[in-house]
Amino acid sequence: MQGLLYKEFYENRRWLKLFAAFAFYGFFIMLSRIFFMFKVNEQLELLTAFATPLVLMLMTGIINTTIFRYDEKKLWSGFVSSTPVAAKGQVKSKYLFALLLYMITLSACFIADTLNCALHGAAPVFETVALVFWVQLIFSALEFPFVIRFGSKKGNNIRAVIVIALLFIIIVYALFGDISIFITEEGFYDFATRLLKGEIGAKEMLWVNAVIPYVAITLYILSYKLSCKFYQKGAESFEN
Amino acid sequence: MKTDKMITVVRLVIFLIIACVPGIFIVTWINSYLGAPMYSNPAISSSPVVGLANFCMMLPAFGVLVTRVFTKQGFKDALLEFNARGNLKYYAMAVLIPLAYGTIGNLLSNLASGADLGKMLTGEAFWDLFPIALYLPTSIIPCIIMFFGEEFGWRGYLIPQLEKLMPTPAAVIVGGVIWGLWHAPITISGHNFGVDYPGFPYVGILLMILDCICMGAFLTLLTRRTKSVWPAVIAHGINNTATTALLIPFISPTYIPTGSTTPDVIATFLIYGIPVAVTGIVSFVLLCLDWKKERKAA
Repeated sequence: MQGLLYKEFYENRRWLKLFAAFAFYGFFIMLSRIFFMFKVNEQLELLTAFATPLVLMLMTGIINTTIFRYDEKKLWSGFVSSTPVAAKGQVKSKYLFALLLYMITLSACFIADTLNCALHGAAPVFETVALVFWVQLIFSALEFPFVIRFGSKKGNNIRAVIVIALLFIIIVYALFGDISIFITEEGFYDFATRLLKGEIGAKEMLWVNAVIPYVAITLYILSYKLSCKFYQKGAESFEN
Repeated sequence: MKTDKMITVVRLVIFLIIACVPGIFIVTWINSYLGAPMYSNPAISSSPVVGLANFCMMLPAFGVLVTRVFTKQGFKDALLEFNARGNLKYYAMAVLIPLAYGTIGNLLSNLASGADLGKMLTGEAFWDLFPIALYLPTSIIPCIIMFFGEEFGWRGYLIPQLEKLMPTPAAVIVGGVIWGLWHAPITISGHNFGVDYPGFPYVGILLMILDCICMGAFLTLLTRRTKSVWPAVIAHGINNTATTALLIPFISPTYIPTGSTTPDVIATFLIYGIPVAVTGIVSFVLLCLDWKKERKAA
């Protein structure tokens, strides 16, 4: 299983190098004032501090949508099923790799947020970043069994359908639901800032932050068990 | 044999220099930036700059990386596998035991502050506080790199290397002393005890050493039994962030009667430390028994 995990890192090395390069660039800009004693343009510093976590999370999301593609071959699925780790090990390595990547991104965002708060006095956004992490984990938990069963093309289509369905629900709510809390004099940016700082909806957000980790972890484990059952069926549709 | 021991000593020296020395400079820089010890009062400790001290927790892991790479030690014995199969009870212990000793310790120190136990456990604000209790144990996950940073260094490297030089029980005590002294810069900055107690900072450093020996024994037990640092990472995380989790939903806001005397911070720490000490002693005894068994088998 360890070897399969190394294989995942090897297969995605180009993406991971880009990820590392961007993370180091972001930290270099943020730390230049302290360690290298030169002052980068303040707006660039603030933009980097904000953009670094966002881009890293986007990149992780993109990488995790491609981790099944390169192993969708009958020869590979036959070989891995014959090894001691069997199909379960193959599926486990994918899930572990995706989880490790999310954890690495989360850690990088934690560092970026701590630096941003310390160096620029910005409000901490790490709770929001952590929430995005759990939501990404839930999305992966929902997506992976479909990808394993039907292949990455169909699986990605199903993910697109889920996202469109969610957007549809949001639009329907926006058109017909109670949106009085969103209609304020202050404007969306100020509203979002106060939401992030916990000045509004703090009680509801506390419940969300409290419950979502358990939901995400449970769904991820159940998703893994389901994917183990689906792997052989899915492998039958692979090309040679 | 002698050469092996000398190599181990050199590796330990390199590791300890990297794990300990930069932290002194980081903490000193933060204190000079703030103009006062960073934990000396709530107004100063709430500054976001204090968050930079958290990066010192990653220094032990950095020390391990540098030592293993430059002394060509490799990473085969790095204890990075999860080894969850057959060891789930240790992973459960990693979560439950810190929650248990934290709950008991907080109860005892609240009682020592004159709290009315009946009033304290009425749970007047149960549903308001319950989400905090749920949230606390999982809050370690987003910042797990910090706890991994420490445990990969202390339990993942320091203790195994010390075990090559001395018996396991001695290694646990020496490791605890080193870990406690590693905390000295932040203890001097007011962490845990403030700056106003009698005997500052020596009493604080001594108590920290005792605490680290006790906790170190428990974390070493988890690491040795599972041959993995991950249970220790989880236990350390729960210890630092979530020890009040079980108690929080039940605490009535009015539990401390007016006019009661709060014991000083040292006394409170000692009272809180009773269940920690019990955990440490039991773990230490179990480690001694394991070590004796291994010696007999060898």
